[in-house]
Amino acid sequence: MNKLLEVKNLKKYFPIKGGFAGKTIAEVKAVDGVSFSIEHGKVLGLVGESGCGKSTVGRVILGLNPKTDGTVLFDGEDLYAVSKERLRELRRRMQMVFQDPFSSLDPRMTVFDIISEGIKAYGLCGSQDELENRVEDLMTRCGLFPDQAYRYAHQFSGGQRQRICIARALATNPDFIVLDEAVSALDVSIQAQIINLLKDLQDSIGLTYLFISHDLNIVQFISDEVAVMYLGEIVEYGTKQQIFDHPMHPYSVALLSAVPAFTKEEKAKKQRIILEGDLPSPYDLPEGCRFAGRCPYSDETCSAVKPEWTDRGDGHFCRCHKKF
Amino acid sequence: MKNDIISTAENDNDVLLRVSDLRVSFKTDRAVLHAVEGVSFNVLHGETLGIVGESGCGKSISCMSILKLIQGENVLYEGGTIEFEGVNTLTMSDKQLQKIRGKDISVIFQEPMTALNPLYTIGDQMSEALKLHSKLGKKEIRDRCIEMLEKVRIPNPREIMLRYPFNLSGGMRQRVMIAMALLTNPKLVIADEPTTALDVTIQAQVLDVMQSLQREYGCSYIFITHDLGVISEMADRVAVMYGGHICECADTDTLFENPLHPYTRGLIASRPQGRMTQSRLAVIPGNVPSLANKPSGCPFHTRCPDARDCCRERFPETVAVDEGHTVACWNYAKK
Repeated sequence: MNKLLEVKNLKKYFPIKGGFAGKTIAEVKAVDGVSFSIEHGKVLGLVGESGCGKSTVGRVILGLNPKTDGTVLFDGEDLYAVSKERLRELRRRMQMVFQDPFSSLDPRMTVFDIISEGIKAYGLCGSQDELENRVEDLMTRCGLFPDQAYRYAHQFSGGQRQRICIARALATNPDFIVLDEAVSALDVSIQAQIINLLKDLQDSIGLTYLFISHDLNIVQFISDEVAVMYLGEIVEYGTKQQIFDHPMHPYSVALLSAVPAFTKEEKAKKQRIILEGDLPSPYDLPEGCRFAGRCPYSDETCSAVKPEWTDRGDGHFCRCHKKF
Repeated sequence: MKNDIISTAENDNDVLLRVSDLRVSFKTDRAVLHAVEGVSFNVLHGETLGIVGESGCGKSISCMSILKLIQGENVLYEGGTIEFEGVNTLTMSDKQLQKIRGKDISVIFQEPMTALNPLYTIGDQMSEALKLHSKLGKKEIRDRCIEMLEKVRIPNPREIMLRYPFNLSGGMRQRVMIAMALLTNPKLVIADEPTTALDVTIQAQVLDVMQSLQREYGCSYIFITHDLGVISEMADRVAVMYGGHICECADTDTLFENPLHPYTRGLIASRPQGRMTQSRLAVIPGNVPSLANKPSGCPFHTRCPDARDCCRERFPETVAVDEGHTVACWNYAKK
């Protein structure tokens, strides 16, 4: 097994300041003991509802927010233990594409500046000619017209902007890209274009993705493995087939059933489970299983004792007291 | 000639709202932008009409025109009629419109964060419509609001009445919006992307509430969304919009099983669905055109796989290919 990224017991708590002299009065446990790994060239889909901490996981892995506890191993090296110089080199190999293509591009930079910034920072191209060729190549590869390299971000549509973001991410020859809701803000017909682009790039350069999304249909299409997050914890983890064909955690089951059915047969087959209530707030977490308050099957044990993270066979992990 | 082919199958008595040949434009310094170009559709009593389309296709503008919610010096209603129970709302005075707004026709907006006033309690905002449109006393209004909040499954409605919108989560706020919209027992509810800002499990709750209220009150919905999945669960009939036109309209099962317009086909094919064996998605090439440089003729011709010369010149007439199934495409136009 060849793991590119390994995350062990990752925690990220955000302090809530208040009271006298801005003391920390509470903590938001955004990510609370998350572990997973991604092999070379694979896609891990991270799904969950807003506020479950899925974006924070992506940000902490890249060091955009420092971790509170746990380890992040990238290609066998601990990102939070290596020297500054080594970290700089490792970070070249990991990039991110953000959700909103309207706010993640600097309006005062041309597309050429945006894409070449990383190349220049790492000194990857010797001459100006080489740099221009490289940017041109990246733009073509991402479905942009190189003759538009000197335009500004606002002159492009949403889908094209997301292509610019992808080209920027590819500029430093990364191995690993965190895609944080990378297609959520786009129109349906444009989403498909971007997903195909991501798939093509993966096939041609062998990229590894952490695909963070709330759209289960897209996750099912693009991922090899899937982790379902709820309130800062991963509640279920397995291959795409395991999660989508035989979900074990009641939350995953409810999440899958909440996706609107499409065709007549699907509608007839499906039983929708409607969860009561909203996500509890992450600074006032329930004692036992975090899902107990909304779970249709919960009993006293569930609300008192925290369920263990157990392997239910063939690497299909689940955090639940019950067996369905 | 009948200009509303869409309704030929139905009895006129069943029609609650009839929009015919609606045209709405916006005046800018540079040009006049045609946002809606000849849209016709009907809503029957007690049914849900879904309107799907991508951003900028004119779906929200068509529906907001029903109550003339889009007004201003630069808004031009260039033609068409909107008949609600036989009366044209486009020619109504503001006073007349106010009698309908929030009473016979109400609206659920997309952003529950911005659609509620942050300075008033939930109770204050909810009772406003009843104060205006009914002769009920204070206590009766309060009771009615609480009853309605219970119906949308809000816990502790008495307490929630005293809360402000920021105290509530997104899903709760949207349910308050729904309760508010249905408080006056309207005949038509326009829901503009009511679940787009919500998570899937919360979306399922909200859709379920909307369906059970429709069963109870028998109101009609116009459900605007870009999500084909939501449409197929909610709507009885669907109209697909592109570039200010309705390009296809049919009952939901027919539309998803036998889509005719190349745009509808592309939309359905480009959506990842369940266990797929192919490694790539079908794609509609190109981008959604902006209003300022909308293509001539059929606006979809720049992205259409079967575009011909006639597509570039004129917009095709809407033809009925089957009972209740209409399409505006040269492939199906009468030769």
